[in-house]
Amino acid sequence: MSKNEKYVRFIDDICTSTDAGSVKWSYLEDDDSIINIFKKLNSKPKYLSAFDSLLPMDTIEFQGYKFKIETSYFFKDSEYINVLLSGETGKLCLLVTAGMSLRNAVVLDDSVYGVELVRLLAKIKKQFPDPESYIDKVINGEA
Amino acid sequence: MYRWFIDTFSSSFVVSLSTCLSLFGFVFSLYAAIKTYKIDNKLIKYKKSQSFLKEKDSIVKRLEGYIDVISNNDFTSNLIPDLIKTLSAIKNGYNSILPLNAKWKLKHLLRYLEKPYKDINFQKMINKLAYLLGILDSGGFIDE
Repeated sequence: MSKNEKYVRFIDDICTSTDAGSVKWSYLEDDDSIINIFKKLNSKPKYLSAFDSLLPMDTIEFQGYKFKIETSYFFKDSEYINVLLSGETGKLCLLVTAGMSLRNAVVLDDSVYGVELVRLLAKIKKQFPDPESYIDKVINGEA
Repeated sequence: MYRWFIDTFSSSFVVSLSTCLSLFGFVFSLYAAIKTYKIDNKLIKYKKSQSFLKEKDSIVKRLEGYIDVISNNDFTSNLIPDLIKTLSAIKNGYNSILPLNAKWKLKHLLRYLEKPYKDINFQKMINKLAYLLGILDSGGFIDE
């Protein structure tokens, strides 16, 4: 099995577990410790620290791309963490799988795994309330 | 008399020559400024489209993903903001180099997503997404 096939299978397995509900995703903004690790990983040398303030509070930078904290998700599995980062432009999706320190992370990029990551994003979003379907249910008298 | 004529003629000649030269200088600098602006503008557009072309693979894969998700009935209204983000990335990056047809499809698609969720015809959406995907994947841009 090639590395590519292995990663596709990995994402597919997470999709299946997410769909079955055996994996519960949370909003990244609910866990300050992970956000702080991301920010620490990206911290600049002291003489450039003034530029840190230019990055909005609700954004984290990873591998040169900016991601919105409020639209990113994570789940912990024993001593590992999986984070689905979602950005505004550029890279819209990135799955980061690593130990709790986020060092030596495996980063699955949407330019290669875009189809699988969008599928995963759809499964994750299904775990959260969908106001439109609630409104439809109320209108149809099903709620 | 002769001297007076020479003096008057030469001074008015100098005046009109200098006026002509300054007018020419003004027109030339205006022309140069417009030319520079046009080149700069083209360069900015070119650089912008080049940087987005680098992200083409991500966008193509994501569009494939959305078509796959819609086909498998996994699309929820929660995904609409993400789809809009992807389409906006195409609009911001490729609009200047997209063929007119694709530009219209993109514009319609973005407008279509503003509709109430229950009114969205997913088959229509798949067709439009597939058309855009075809254009981006085949690299059928203009002036690339």
